[in-house]
Amino acid sequence: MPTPVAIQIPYRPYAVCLPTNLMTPDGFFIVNMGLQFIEVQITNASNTLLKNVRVYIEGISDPGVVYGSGVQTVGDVPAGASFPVRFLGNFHDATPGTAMISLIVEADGFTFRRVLKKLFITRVDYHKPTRTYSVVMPQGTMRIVIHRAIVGPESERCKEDRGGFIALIKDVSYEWVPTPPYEGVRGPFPYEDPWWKIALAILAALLLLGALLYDYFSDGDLDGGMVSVSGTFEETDPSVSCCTSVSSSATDTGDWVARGLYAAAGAAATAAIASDGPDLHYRGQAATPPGQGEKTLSEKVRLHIEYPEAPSPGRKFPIAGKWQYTRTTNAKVYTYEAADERENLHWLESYEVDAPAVHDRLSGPLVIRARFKKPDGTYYTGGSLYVSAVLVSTYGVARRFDLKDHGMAFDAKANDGWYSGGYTFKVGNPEMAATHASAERYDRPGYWYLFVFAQDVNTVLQGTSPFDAAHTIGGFVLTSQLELSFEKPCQLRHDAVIQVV
Amino acid sequence: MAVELWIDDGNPWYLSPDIWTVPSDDPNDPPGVPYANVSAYVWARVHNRGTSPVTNATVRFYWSNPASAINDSTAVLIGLSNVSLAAGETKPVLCVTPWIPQWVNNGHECLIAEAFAPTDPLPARSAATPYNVPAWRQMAQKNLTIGYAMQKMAFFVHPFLAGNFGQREKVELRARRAPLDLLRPLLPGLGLTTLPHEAEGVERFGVQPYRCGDPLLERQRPEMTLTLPPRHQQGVALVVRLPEKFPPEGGALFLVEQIEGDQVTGGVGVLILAETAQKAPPAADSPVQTRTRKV
Repeated sequence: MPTPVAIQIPYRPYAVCLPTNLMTPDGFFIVNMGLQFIEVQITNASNTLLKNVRVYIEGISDPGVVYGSGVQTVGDVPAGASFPVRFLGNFHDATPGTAMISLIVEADGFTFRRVLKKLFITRVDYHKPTRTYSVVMPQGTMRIVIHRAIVGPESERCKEDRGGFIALIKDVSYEWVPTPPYEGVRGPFPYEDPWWKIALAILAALLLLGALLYDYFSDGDLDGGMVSVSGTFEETDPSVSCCTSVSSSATDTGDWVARGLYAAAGAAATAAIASDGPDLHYRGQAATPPGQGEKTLSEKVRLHIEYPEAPSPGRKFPIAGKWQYTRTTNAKVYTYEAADERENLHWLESYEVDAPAVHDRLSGPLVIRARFKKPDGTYYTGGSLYVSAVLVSTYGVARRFDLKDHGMAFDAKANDGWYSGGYTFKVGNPEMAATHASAERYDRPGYWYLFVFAQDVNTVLQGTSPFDAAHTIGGFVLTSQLELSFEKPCQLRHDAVIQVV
Repeated sequence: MAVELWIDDGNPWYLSPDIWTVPSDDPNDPPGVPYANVSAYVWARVHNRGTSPVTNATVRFYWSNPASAINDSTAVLIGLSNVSLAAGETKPVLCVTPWIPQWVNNGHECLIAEAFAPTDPLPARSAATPYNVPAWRQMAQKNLTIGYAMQKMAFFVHPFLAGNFGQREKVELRARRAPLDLLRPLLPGLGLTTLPHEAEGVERFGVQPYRCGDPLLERQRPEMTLTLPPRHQQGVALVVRLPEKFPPEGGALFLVEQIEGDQVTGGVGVLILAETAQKAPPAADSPVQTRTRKV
């Protein structure tokens, strides 16, 4: 009698942003972004090859999420391999909170297996008169005010017709109003995670949206009213000096490569001081136990961030913060202050990219591979990383694809630390390449610049206690192509140049 | 036909064994009967009896007030799911959106599921078209209420709606006591392992026009003809005279059917059990206790 196919989905599904092909901070699905990919890593938990693996979404509990039906055919999956599957979803009408997704996995010779996972969904609104961002969740409302930020670049190569989009937060406060007020040291957790982690995700989402939507946020009702990010801070410092030294040949038309990395920089910096490690909010709560019978009406954190070095993503940069936690109860106000010095935890010892110097379009797909060494000297393997690549032409076209360590297709062996992927150049009619429409159907010969991005994934297992879960955050860019600077032009470095003939 | 989707009817057709509920926050928990205001999950068993596979079938799940006739305007969508089926394959399909049974019409609701695909579309219908469940292989209905004979209760009253979705001016309703053995295929979905014994002393019953608070008729009749204009509904009730002491291990199944010509166009099943058979709802998420459970 057939048994259910032996697969596991150990980690939660994550969102992948369409324009950048990068994972969103901590994998959160962001209502404001509308369309995004739902990606999930599935592991063959058996010791045999699974043949003709197929996956589809049975359903999503939030009827506001619109997703594509149909079956994704994965193929044969080696024993122990982890493979990603992605579906396009529209979250424009989703409700912030958690939703359940049911995935059906099938393979020849086995009965199907149903796996239920949680999707974490957030939404950012902006109240223009008070310059307050907010997100409403079942457990309460969070309000965030960015008092001071570094914004840039506002001119130079990066879109002179638009305002700045990179935002490194320097002074921020967030306030949580629990519904209803609670007794004791800690209240219920939105998303079943501590909410300061959610604050981080929201801040990161702001930064991401600022970059991706190019400085526009919802004004609260998603009715088309939008607010420019350049006017959403109380004060701004001089811009990060960026872009002027970026190779002008390695620029995609939409500037998505750089914009995705700027968003990653802001998220990583905020995470480094606010949430990674023993976080400030938890300590603030512990240091301000309310009296018996008192009910906490609100909690507020004000955080001042100092950047001893420019916080380039994927680097071990230091960061310092001074913060004050304030608990307001129905009886009195409690405060606790502290200062922290931290380092970014999301970086690599090194990484290697194998790519040919010359590629003939008629010889088949371009295949590249890469591996990523952790600070402890070991390599990331399998589903512990989300790896994507982008090829940028000299004429502004970008081609994106993923690299996987699953022993299938372009990848020789599962879990060996080498992530492989490929791209088949489109060889069409060169005469048609001049038109915009045909640019999508034809790839010109010439030099193409390769970027390979690795992002860590949230490896929290379902059922992990919220406090423990809060100390594992994923979605941060580990590779170091973008070097920010306060004093000299930033650098955006490609990983390889390929002459395509 | 290349793709042929089915959700099987029951016997009678409005007691489908292919629809069931899990009254829990975890849809993988054992099946059982749901409670008003307590989250539950709905499942449907879908068959592809065609010769071709289908990769993108949709399954819609609805609840409705208990009524002897239902259409799109009276059914409420709970959620929809997808299913892929090989030729000849059967799969249970989960409605991932939880269903929270509401305290409407005294908490009685019925469930409907339908499956379709681009290669096996549903029959054309308008919002006013009554669901022709026995004729539509892709749709099934489970309209079974479990009620309890509480101590000192002289009458068991089960209100529901009779609807006229046809062209005639009259609607005929017939109530009958049916053998409990009809429920045997439904036992797994009810979370039961054995059938109750046929309760004695539960022979007097009937149907009557009814709104909450209306007096019960002295003399109950098992048949009733309502004068009801097309597209109208009217409240009616099954009324069962209870014995002084309902047998603790006993049960009585009643079926109320709406007849048009010689066709049964709708039906409601009511299973009456002893008060002692009542289970408490899940403790954690049970803001409201009910005495009636409905599947």
